[in-house]
Amino acid sequence: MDDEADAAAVAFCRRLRPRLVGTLSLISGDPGTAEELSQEALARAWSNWSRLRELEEPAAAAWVFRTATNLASSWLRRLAAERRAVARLAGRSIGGARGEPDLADTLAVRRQVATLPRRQRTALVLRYYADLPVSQVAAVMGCSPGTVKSLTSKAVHALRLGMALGIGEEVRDGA
Amino acid sequence: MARDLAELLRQAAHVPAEPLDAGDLRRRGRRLRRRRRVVRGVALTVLLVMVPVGMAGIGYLRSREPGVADRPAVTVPPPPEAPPQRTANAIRPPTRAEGSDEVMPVVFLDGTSAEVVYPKALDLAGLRARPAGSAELAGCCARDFFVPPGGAAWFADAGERLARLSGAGGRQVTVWPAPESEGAGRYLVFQFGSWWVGVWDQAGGSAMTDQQLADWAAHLDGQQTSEGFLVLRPDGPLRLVGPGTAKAAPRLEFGAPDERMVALTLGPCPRASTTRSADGAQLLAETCRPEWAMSVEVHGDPDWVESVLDGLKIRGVRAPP
Repeated sequence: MDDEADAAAVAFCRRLRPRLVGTLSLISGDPGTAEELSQEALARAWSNWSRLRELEEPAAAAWVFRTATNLASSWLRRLAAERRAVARLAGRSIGGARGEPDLADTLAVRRQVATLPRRQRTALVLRYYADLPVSQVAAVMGCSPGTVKSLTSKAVHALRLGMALGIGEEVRDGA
Repeated sequence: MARDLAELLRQAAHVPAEPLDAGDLRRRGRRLRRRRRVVRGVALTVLLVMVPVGMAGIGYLRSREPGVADRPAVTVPPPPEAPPQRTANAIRPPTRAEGSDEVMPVVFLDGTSAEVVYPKALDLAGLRARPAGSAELAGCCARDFFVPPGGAAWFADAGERLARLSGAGGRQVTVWPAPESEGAGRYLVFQFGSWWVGVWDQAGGSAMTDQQLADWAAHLDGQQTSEGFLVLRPDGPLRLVGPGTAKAAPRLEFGAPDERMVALTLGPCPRASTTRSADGAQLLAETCRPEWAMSVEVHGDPDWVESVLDGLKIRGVRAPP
């Protein structure tokens, strides 16, 4: 890679990294893992820069988000397997927050986001935190845009019920 | 007071304290490149060895066939394939009038049927319907069905076809690269009547193997009903994901999510409810009634969403035959 391409690739990675780390921290629930997976996804972007540089920046960013969410999915599967194994050995369930000192709201949001089903969590974070348009979230997740809408709607609803945050409004009618 | 979800997520997200380590990025990137080169090199070596060996073997076998030298050595190249036509990959379902209402019979991917009733002015059929849902291959994975606007052309836009596979009922199933913007991966593409349906091999953090793609191709059959709806009939190790599960249940989407959209998703509704969430200047509402056996999402400008919520009814829900 020549110096000019290297500089462009590093600048792209630098711009994307805060949003990518934040996204993965909400999906994985673990800041350290988020930083590691982000670095891996960005390294893949750097190594594929000759292809990515041909794309518009939002499309290149979507490529990185897709790579990163795939890495996070693999990590979550491994983690779940490890937790099951550890729980079996310890004879008790494992869970709970890491107890990082923070504002109560922040911890509550993290906890609630972590309880969402993985697809809902990914759609919610990509849409509302990473600020990707619905069509790009759909491309990242490999589903239809309508499904993205559905997943984010359910996630917002679950968050509202879990936190009484007053996001939106709920009306119940009938029996 | 409603709080801004995006702001809450921003507060909850971890912000890296250290700047990007560009040196580490380059080291990892170079390592990935080296690994790719090695893999390509191995693949090329295997190809270079196997092709001459294979050709020599074929030549030897042919030389043993009687009269082979007398045959004219004429080969007719296949005609060039025309690029696929861009199609809506959606239908305008037929409707009938009932007083001031319009009645639209609908059929879901799994064969569940129902009637959607709404005031004529809403013209939901005019938004055009597109199916969605997912299936699970035993021992492998669940994947969403992807029915893109553009139909076959959407898949062909990404590049050259990679393979043809034998599908259920003698159907041809093709394999296409995923668009560059989606990164790695392949789409398995099925045609059922006028519908073009893709299955992406990469979702959920792992790629399907060639054998798993072949299994999807061999076990997914389907047809277009006389009204134009798509009904899928998987068999063997492949099963449609049913209503009420965490995965994508059978669903019909009318319209486009960035404009006006109504989506019907099969699934139980424990109690009648309607929820509304703001999405920028638009409103996203979800409503269900226990007797509907499905939830209805409505997205669009608030006045239109409220009109749909006021006027929409579902009736005559019947399980697949």
